[in-house]
Amino acid sequence: MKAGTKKIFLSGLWEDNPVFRQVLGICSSLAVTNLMLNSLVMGLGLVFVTAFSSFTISLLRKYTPRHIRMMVQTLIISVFVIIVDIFLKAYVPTVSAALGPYVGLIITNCIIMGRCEAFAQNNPPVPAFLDGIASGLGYTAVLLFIAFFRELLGFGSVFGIQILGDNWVNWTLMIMPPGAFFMLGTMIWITNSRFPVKSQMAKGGQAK
Amino acid sequence: MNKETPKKVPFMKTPVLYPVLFMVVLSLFLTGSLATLNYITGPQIAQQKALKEQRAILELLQQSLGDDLVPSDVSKIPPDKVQSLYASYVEKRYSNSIKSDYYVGVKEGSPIGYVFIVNGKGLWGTMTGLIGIDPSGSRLLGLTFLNHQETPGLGGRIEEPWFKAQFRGLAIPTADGDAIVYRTAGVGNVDAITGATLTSNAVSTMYNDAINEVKRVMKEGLE
Repeated sequence: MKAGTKKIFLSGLWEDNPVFRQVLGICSSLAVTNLMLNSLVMGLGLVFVTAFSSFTISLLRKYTPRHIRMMVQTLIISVFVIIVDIFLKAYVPTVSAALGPYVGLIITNCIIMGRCEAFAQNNPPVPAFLDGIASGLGYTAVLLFIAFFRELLGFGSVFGIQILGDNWVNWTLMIMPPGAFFMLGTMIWITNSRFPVKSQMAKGGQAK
Repeated sequence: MNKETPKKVPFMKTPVLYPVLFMVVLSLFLTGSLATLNYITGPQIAQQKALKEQRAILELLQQSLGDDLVPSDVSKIPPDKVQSLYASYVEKRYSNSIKSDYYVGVKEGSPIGYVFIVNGKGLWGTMTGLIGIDPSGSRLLGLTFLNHQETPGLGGRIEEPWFKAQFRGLAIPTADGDAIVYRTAGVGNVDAITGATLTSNAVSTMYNDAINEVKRVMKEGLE
């Protein structure tokens, strides 16, 4: 089992990273990465939802009719997202206010549906749960990486703590959508050209 | 014609009956669980909302009440202290002329400020906030936000202390005209938020309208 777990985590975090390998979850990667704190909470919310949704869908996989499986997946995913929303509103209202509309948007994040279809439908519950955590963590890592640069250059701070002094003129572009596209595009380019994985090399990708 | 005996389809493979039943049962179970969770956390969420409102009202009245009664950093006051301060110094009344609740800060029996609820259209959705007016109706005690959906990091910065602090003590013009004017080319009394022009304008429109309404009501009487 240990080898399986390691493979799951390696896949979710690097080889099959949902954002820069599978190019999933792009909308939220662009939207919340203007601040590191927002990215962290969004990422953790996604880890929770993906893990538990995958677990539940895997539990039901033998009973779910094939032709309605997407409806079932969407239903289960939205239940867990609403649980996250209620939990934030009740116990951490400041974070809930900061994330506002983005929490509801977790439902639309293709990573969750992607993992449910690709993994949870065909695997037992516990590996599905771990795969959910791994993909969620891979997403969170990418978000934090992008947010680090966007917040630092756009606000001069990291997690709200001012790092750059008064002499720094904020690159406001970095905290607006174009900045997000530049950062994300750069990251996808670097990870795929400098660090291609076996499947990309087999397809004839450029390996330096 | 040789009529074949119909093949018995296992229940789980029936094209309509089983899927429909499955979805109905699953939906009932899931929505039931959510409704239960919602019910259980209902009071907690309502309490958080009330606490937020009480804290915002105290924030607006803090300077008039004084540092000895209410600590200057209202955001750091623990919840039970917020509740007891609110109970001691704030009265909630209903005004027929504006057809809504409003709040009065009371110190030693006399009013030291009025707080009104303000609603308006923000960039992404409705904004709700509070505005504080001193008893004479000539100055703003300040303004604050209860609910908004502005972009985090840009329009969302209206909640930052420096932005809200600009409105404390702002004079309300006796003649017609906007109380809040953003600085451009030397004219104006407050700064908007860089990169959040639309949200800043939504804020000024909303509160200027509220101030005009308050001016009228203070003249005619709040009852």
